[in-house]
Amino acid sequence: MTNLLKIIFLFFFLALAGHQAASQQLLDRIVEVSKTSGSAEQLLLHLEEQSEVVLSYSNQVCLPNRIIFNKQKGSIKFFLDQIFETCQVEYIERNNKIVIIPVKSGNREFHINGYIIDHDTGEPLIGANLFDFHANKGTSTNNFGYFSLPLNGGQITLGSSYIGYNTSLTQLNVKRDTLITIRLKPMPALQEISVLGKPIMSDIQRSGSGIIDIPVAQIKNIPSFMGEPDIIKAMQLFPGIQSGNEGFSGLYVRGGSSDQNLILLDDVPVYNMEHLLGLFTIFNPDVVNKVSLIKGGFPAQYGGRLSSVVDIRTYDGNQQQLNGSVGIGILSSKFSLNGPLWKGRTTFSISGRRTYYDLIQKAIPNDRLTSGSYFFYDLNAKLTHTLTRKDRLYVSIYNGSDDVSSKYNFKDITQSIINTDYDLTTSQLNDEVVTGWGNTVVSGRWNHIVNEKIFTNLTTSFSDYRFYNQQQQSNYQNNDWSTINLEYFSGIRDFTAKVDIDYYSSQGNTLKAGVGFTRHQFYPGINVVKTELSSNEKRDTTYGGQIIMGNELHAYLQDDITLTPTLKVNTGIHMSMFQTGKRTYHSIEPRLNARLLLTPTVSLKASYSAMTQYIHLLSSAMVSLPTDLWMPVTEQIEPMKAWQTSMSAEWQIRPEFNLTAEVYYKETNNLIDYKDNQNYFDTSSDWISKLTSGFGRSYGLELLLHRKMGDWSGWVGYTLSKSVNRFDDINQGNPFRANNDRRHDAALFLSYLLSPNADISMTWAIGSGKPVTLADEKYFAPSLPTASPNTSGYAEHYSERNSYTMPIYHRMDIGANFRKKIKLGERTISVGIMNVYGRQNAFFLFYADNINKNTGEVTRSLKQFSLFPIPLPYVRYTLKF
Amino acid sequence: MTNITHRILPILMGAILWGGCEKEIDFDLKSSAGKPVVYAFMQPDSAVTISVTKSVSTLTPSNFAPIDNATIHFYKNGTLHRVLSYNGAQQWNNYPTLRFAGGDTVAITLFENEKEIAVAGTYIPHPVQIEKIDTFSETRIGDDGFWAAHINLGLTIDEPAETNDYYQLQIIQTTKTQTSSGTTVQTDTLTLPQTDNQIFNTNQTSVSLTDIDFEGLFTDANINGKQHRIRLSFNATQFRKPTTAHSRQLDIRLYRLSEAYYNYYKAQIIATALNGLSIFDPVEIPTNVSNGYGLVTGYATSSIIFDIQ
Repeated sequence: MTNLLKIIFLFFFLALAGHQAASQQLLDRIVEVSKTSGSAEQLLLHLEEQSEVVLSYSNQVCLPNRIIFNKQKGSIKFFLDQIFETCQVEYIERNNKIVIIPVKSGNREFHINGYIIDHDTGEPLIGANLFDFHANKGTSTNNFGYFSLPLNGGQITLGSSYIGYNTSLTQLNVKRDTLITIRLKPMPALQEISVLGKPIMSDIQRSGSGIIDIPVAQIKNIPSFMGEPDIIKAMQLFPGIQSGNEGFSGLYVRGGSSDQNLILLDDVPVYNMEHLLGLFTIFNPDVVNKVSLIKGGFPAQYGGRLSSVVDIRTYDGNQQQLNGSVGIGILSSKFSLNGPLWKGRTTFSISGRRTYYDLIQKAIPNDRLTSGSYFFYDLNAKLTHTLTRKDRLYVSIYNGSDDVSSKYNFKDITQSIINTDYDLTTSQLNDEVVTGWGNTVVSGRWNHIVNEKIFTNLTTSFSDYRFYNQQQQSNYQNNDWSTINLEYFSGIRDFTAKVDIDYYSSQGNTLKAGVGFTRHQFYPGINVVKTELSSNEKRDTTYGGQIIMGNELHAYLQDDITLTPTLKVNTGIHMSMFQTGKRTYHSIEPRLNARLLLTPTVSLKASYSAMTQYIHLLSSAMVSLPTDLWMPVTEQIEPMKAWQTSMSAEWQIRPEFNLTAEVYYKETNNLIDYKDNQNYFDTSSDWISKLTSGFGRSYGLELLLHRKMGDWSGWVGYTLSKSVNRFDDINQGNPFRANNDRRHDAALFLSYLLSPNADISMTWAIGSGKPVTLADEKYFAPSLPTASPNTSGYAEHYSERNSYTMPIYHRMDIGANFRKKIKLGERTISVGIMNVYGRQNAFFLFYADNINKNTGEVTRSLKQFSLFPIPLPYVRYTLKF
Repeated sequence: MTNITHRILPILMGAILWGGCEKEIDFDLKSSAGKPVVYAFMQPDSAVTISVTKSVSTLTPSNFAPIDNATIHFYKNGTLHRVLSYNGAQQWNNYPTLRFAGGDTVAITLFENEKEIAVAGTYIPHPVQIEKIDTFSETRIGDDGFWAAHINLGLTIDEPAETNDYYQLQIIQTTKTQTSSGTTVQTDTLTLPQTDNQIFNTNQTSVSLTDIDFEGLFTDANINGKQHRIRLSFNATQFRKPTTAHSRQLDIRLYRLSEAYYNYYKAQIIATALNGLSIFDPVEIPTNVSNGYGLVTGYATSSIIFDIQ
């Protein structure tokens, strides 16, 4: 532990502090001046006296005659910058002396830093590109829309671009480090992307491979179940990503399981992203600014999961004016509102979504004594405050839940008031059972631009996933009414603090470093019994599983280096440590991404990533259930580790139109699964002893043709892959197909703009069926001599795990959006049909006995159950104002 | 199956079944039917009962196929003990004269048409006696949250140290009622309260999630070689004497099982609980019959019977 900490500190202080901070001591010294105007020589002399630092300069330095300081207190550098505002000078510290030397502006390097934002709303544009055509240098904005680009001084022309926005050219006469804000105008519909004289920075120039950026506008156009646009289901249409089961929101990336995905909402992990058991996800696209999925070539800043990172960033809120939207659909209604609270300083964004069948049900009078209801809701809120030009604060909150309740035992009861014999009171009983699950995610972040080279972000966050079951039951006993509340809950709760630092070096490197600590609390299942008698006697009892703690520490260092104009490398190391019980695990994970530009529009990329995962999900079924338990590694169960390598070729056909071919190979060690004959539901033995660890291998080829903008947009993707696992205690030690190993998988999404006010879209997915374990033999199984009677029957035997393949899957969905300006704003009517041609895809297979009514003959057959066997229409009305 | 999962699954099913449908499909299943299936349960000094059948394809309506012309070789402590022919027309064959003692190691080899088709073996355990029973009653809040009178049973056993042991505890209530047509006898196997954390693992992960009744199965993992008092606390209503009853007895049985018996039993309970829920993978029942299925096992019983008022 001590050694690891030493290494961490060594990284930070050698890489960053040693590089920058030590050389800035004299210039950063704060002084107070009494003389605020005069010639350069007078003010330099005064500054020298006040600071007790020798200021040395030659007669070649330009010395303006009239300078006015705009404040009396500041760093020496601040006052020197004011004195030499119109000159090109350089400061060099030597001993206790600052030497001021003139430089030719064209030879001196400055940092152009700042933000790229939406012209109309002020929203930061994440991943926007910035390029200096003369220097042939470029960069892109970070997750807060910030960039810093070192360039030689003088006249420069900066090109800025972002998908869905007009490319802008900014002319600057650079004489010093400059903080600017670039505003890009959203592109009107149907307008083609303008092509500049030289290609701007784009996906092909990025060093990482296996990264998918999905424009949110495209996500909203994808036909969706019940008209609910869904980020995760959009991702399932990309190569390398499997959905698990039709209609569900599981993510299975390159042979990995659903718990191997790091789902980040504004930098905070979310542990359950599902509503209605996975038919919908918790992410409301109306509040999403940027979505990225990384399935290989992981930058060093990410860790903790093996298969993918889904990075979702939400809107800050419109800086100019209040706007919002309301939407009414078959399943749910939603609203969003955002705008400035304090113009230029503070913005807010709030949105909510809720299903309403339960409300409709309640509104309809009925005399049923029992009733059941279901709803889910999401609530997103974000507050962004600009403290200074260099400091911003963000507070984000997500809360969402599914709630199933049933009421029963409805009756009137009459009882005497306590301590009296004659006063009677009548009250109504309506006992209920409430089952639900949900997440609460809260984060606070502070951005600080230390100087033109250093951008820092401090994050503190809280993430809580909880499944709960509450039962209220009334009982008449011993002449007294009592109320019993039985509660069960399970889940996981994280408290995290982390610091991330971006360092933009003079050489054009972008160095990122960070350190973070997470305190995990695992709640494997706790029962609380509360008893309340009408005589006011109360008692609470808690029993069941104990809370399990885990402490996770991580640190990383990565560098994005442009080695030559054509060769760019992103390399780094991610280190982590997990302490559980008496054991501490640690890992060092090297990461390497390299990009070679063959031509300005064709690149080759290669990557290597090692990943470690310390927590895992104990699952019970082929679909994700909210009762599944997140559990940590233990003294017996070691962390899962994976390494992956990939190579890709990318061709930028047009600025918005890419063709990518990628091959990958991944190996995973210490995969965790239940042993043969062991089961989630077996609570008669220790959960740890039921698990076993094994090995997984996955490899494949992925092709993607993606057009992000234009009248025709969309993508077509194809995956050829194979994923195999092997465990000593499963399948007699023989390798078997991973749960979502599908050999072929292809998906097409097309969207066509009919006019600025109308678009139509379609998706079509086709692929091999997923593997399934089927019993292929059965045999007599009597009641055991010590068992309860009447259990005699048969037992089933499956020869091999996942040895069968479900029938081929395919489905087509279509949708259309019709927009119209109305008095209140713009209304959109979205209509569509899911499963247009009524394909019956297999959800699960089962055996069934069939009895011939005429002959009485019994036959047995294998059947498939299809989830959405008929075309399902949807309609949604949205009003934006 | 489970309280909570039963509440979750209807949501899933309700959400998906409204538009779902099923249809028959053609599927090429591997044909590996025809394997021997052997069951033999042996208690010390008791007659041996054996069932030998053959497995069938899952698509076959019947649950098994009979075996013809089978003989069974019994080995006791490594030596051939008896050779018996098996009547395949009967599902169970009883061999009253074939008995083994506690501590014996038994192996059987099954022949069909003089060809060896299966081998299995087991150990006949000695019973572990219930050394002492103590009872007391109290009124307290039970696990269901209600105040109720409870009857607490303490069963003291001396757990053998030298072996990993597997047990089943069973309490059977027998009620005799005099009616006009004679005496009727009713027996009920009581559901055991999971009040002994040490043997029922009630503090472990997810224990509260499920309410599968494992019918008193437990291991000596936490009590190996110790004298242990098994604590059971019953709601007294379970013992309420019917007004017409004239006598009641409690039969407390402690079965000492083989590991194979324990694992088979547990898997069978889970398979039964998940039967019909196709979103779960099928549960494989373990076997100790090589080249076949079934269970050849010894077990031993100790029992205490007493009248209750």
